[in-house]
Amino acid sequence: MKKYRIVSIYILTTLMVLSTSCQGSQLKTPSGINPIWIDEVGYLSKAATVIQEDNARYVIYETNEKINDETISFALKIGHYENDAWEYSNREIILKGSDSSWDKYIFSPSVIKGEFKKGAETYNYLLAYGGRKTSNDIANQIGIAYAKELTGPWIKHPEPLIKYDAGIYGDEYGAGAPSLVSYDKKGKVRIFYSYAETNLANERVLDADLSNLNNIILDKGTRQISVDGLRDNADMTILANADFALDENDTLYVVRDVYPLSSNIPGNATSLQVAKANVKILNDFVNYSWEVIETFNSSNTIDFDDPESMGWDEIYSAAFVRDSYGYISSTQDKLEYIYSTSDEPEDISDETYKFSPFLAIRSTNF
Amino acid sequence: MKTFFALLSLVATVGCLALASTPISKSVDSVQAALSYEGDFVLGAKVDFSANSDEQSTDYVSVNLSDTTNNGTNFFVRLKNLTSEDVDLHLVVESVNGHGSTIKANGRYTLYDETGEIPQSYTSISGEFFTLPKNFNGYFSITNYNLASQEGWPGNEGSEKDIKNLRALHFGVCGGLYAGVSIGIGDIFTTDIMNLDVSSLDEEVFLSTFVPMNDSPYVEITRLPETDFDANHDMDGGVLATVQYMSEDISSYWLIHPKDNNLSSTGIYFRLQNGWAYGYWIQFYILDGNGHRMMLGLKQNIYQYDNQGKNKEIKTSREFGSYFYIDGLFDGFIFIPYASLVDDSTWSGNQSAPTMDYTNVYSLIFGLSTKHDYSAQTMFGDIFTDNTTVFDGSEVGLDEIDTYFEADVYGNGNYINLSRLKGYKEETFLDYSNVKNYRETTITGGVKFNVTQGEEDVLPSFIIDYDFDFQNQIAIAIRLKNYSYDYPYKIVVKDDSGRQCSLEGEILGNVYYLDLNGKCVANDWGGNPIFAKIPIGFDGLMIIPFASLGGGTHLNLSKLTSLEFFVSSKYDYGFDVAFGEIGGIDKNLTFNSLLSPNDLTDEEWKNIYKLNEYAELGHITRVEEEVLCPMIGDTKILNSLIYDSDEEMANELLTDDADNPLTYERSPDGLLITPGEYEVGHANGPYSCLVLLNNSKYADRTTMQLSDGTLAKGLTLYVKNLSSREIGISLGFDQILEDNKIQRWTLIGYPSMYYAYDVNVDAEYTFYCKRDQFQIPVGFEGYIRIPFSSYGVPDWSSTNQPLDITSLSGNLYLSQDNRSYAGLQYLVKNVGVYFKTTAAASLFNEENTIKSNMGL
Repeated sequence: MKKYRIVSIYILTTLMVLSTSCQGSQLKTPSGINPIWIDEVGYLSKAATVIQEDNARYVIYETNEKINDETISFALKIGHYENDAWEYSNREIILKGSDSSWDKYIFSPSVIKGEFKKGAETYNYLLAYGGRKTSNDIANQIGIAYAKELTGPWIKHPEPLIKYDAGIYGDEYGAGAPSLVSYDKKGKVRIFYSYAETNLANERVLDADLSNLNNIILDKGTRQISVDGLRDNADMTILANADFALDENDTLYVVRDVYPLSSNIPGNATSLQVAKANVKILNDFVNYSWEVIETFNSSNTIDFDDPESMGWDEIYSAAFVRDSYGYISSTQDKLEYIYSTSDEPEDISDETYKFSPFLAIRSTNF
Repeated sequence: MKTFFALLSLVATVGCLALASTPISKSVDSVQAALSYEGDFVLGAKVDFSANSDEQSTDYVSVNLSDTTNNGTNFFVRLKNLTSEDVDLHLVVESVNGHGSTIKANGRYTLYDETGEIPQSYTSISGEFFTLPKNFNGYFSITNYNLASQEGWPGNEGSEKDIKNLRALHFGVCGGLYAGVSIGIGDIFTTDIMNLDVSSLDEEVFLSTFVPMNDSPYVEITRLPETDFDANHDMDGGVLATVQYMSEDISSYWLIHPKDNNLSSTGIYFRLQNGWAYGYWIQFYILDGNGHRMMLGLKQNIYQYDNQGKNKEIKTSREFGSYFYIDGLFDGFIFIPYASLVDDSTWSGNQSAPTMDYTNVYSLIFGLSTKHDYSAQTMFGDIFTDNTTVFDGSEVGLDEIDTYFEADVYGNGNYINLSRLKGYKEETFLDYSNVKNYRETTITGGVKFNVTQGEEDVLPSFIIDYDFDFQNQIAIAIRLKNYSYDYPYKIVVKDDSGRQCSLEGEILGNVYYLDLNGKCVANDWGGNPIFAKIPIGFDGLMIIPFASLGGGTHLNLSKLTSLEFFVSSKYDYGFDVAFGEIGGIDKNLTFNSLLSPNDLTDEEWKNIYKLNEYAELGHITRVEEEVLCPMIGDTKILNSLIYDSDEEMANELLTDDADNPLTYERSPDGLLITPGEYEVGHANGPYSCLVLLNNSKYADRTTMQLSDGTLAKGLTLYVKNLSSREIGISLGFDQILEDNKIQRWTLIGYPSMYYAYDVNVDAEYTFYCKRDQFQIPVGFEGYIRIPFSSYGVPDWSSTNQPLDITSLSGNLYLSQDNRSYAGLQYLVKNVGVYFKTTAAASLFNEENTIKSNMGL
């Protein structure tokens, strides 16, 4: 079985790294997927946000700065298309969790371009991310950081933009997994995010005017996004942990996690689904619904040349390849998205799986 | 069997002699008595014999029997001479053993008439042949005694005559003598045994049963319908004739002019229906172009068939006058043979024209009694003879009918109403749900008519006495509202000439009820063609096409003088209906107002609305101004839930003691509701429920459509959470199904959604429902909108019909789960429906928001 083979490889390679750390790094050996790069064993790549700008791809993603360390930081890799392939630069860590603030632990970056003033300065990029105080995946909130260049330096806004009060709502998931789409290519932004407390996880959207970061204006009401037209394997369709993009025809695209079970915690997705709808669905759930473009699941990652291949257990946290404002270019003939894959542990005590995630790419007609 | 035919051909040339037969005596036999067989004996095959070049040759049709058993005494054959002259037929009776017999010299045979009751015996002097008189239609019968071996029959050698086991009958015609002969052959039987039941033969068996002997090219066989005539006639486009009541017993006549004046035949067939439950006598005459008139002879035969042309019965004309009888609810054919007609000695025209000329018929004349037959509904469909069509309604347009049917102005025809049945040529079908300009009509200022109980079965009525000009209008339209059960009523419309018309049931066309939601239903007659019924709770336009009134198209539409509504005080007391604006509907389906009661002074009102002589049982009052549902922007408030008194509140709200407890109290700001403690193990589950009854003071509460036709898009209400926790509420409603069953609709639950607008925060939201509830967040105060798409039929429902917003009962159900929300109070008001597309407000959207749609 593929899973066992890969896990056993990880175990083996991890042991090799541990025992032969002086002998140089080992690369993971994925099959059945199309990784955008291959990490060294002991490093992970997942939950990316992608901008394609001027023939370059900027991939900001979750990774561990130190080998075999679970602390997540955000790194940037820049890809250039050379010799019929994207060649990526070495990673550069661009944002870390704070030492003691609300965002000690950070996750799920999403970045767009725009005009965001802070005092006398205007910043060109805005990055939204999930953050929390504890390592447990609870009481998540959403914050923002801003920068003049994608490479940084990134300046964190001190307070979370979307707050979750565990004192009122309990130690539940809270708000996370933001996805930003520019409204006016300036400071107005749609902020999509996942939210869960005692009820089912759901995706929400806030309209925000971030042109002046000293005077942030947000919707006073929140809107839960309709799932009409989406399809899950579970009893109830859950829209959460999703990335969004727009095109010039006001078509809204979503690539979202599909969960095997209905849950009030986003996570453990086993497939992805790409769908589209008129952007008016965000305000009018009666007259608009989603149309599924494709569902991508474990069976799609089976390497048929490998008799042991069973496909990847977890497929999740995808991000569209978008322009810098969160739009799908009219010149694109395919939708591309970069997703995360990882294996489940064969043995719960084995923690090497934590460093198994890859970022892989897939394209689909739309 | 080739050998057999070859041998038989020898026989066929033997006896080609035309021999006269002579009637000798009557028999007491009866065909009907000969066989205890239920049903008609019918003809099955038409056999045409064409001219044979060999004048001495006889051509045969062989009829092979299905059951060869015979009583050994005699047999009967259903026969008809389709030729207009006598025909001599050569008969060979072939036994199973191959023996052939024929009529012996001086052998006797019997012919029965069509009824099988009247026999006539004949002698075949030379034998072998028997004679069918011209136009004969009946039965041939012969006994074993009168049969003898057929000379030259090849099968006779070594076999004996055996009539107990018959294989076939062979009928031959001498081709040289009888070119163009045509006969009908049908059932063959003997006592208790059907030797040949032609009705039971499928096509393949029929072809092997009736066979040209020797494959004779001079014998052609076709299958006949199982009727005495072509029953392929219907009621389409026919005419209903009714007579107005007169206390004086006079006969009122109408005429039917034939399409072709030449009605030369054996008689006339009428496709007829009687819409009345009782039978009656109807007068009948035929008048030719010279003025000669024929009438029915006394106690003469009239033939009656069902609507398939079967199950013939014989009726006789009346013992006086010129009447034949139509059974109650008769639906079939009547055949009046000319033979049953006699000269009308009372008709003066017969003196100058002493003989009837059926080749030049002017009219058929019918008459009914104004005193006794005013409830009769005589419906004429196709009229025809064996040779020609007298009237075929489906070929006659609406404007052409006067060419055929005419009230006899010289015979009290002014009491006759002639109306067209459906199915006439180029009939147009109007969809009255498309009527324009009717939603602005009102019952304000109109008349409320109710009927109280009386012991006698009398019909109190109220009369709208007004000069209406309905010229260029195709229907009467009355705005009304039914406050009672769907009691039957009768309407009578009169014009200035004294002609009065009533509904005659759906045979003419319907009465329609177009409610303010744009839903149009036809009247439910319930088997009563005279009395219509206004649906329960109906509020809208009653539409009475003139074509649906007996004689309505002959009214003087430019001056209708009264509309009168009758209700039985013995059976239908409780009738309580408000009648408002009255107008006409033109061909463009536009409502044109003719009487707007709201414009009348009280004096004018009294002069128009009146009661008949049973004023102590019928009561009329003027309708006060209607209170309509208030609108807040696009929202129509069905229940404000703000009450001035407990009585008013009690009239609109209801709780069920069988549910979990619930308390509610009125306040100036709305209704305060508090779910009570959950009773663990409660038989009806954990819910408490408050029913908002359809007793609201608002007149148009069940109307879910705006005047421009826009349908409601969902339910809405104003709520304020007065507790410190989120509260879940379910809001359900009822739909009335076509069979009057009630189907509940409740919230589907996740992932159905609803909109919310918090008036204090000035923020709009979209939320998923949780279970079958919408949630009121902590501190929320404002409007909730739940689109109908978030509703479904609950699992416990015994029905699952699609949602029809125009059929909501008006009852609403506010419920909550006492397990979760006991003691949590909330305020609710302004429960209603909204009509505009809704989109939640956000920084980037200000269109179609709750706030903008409601103008808040």
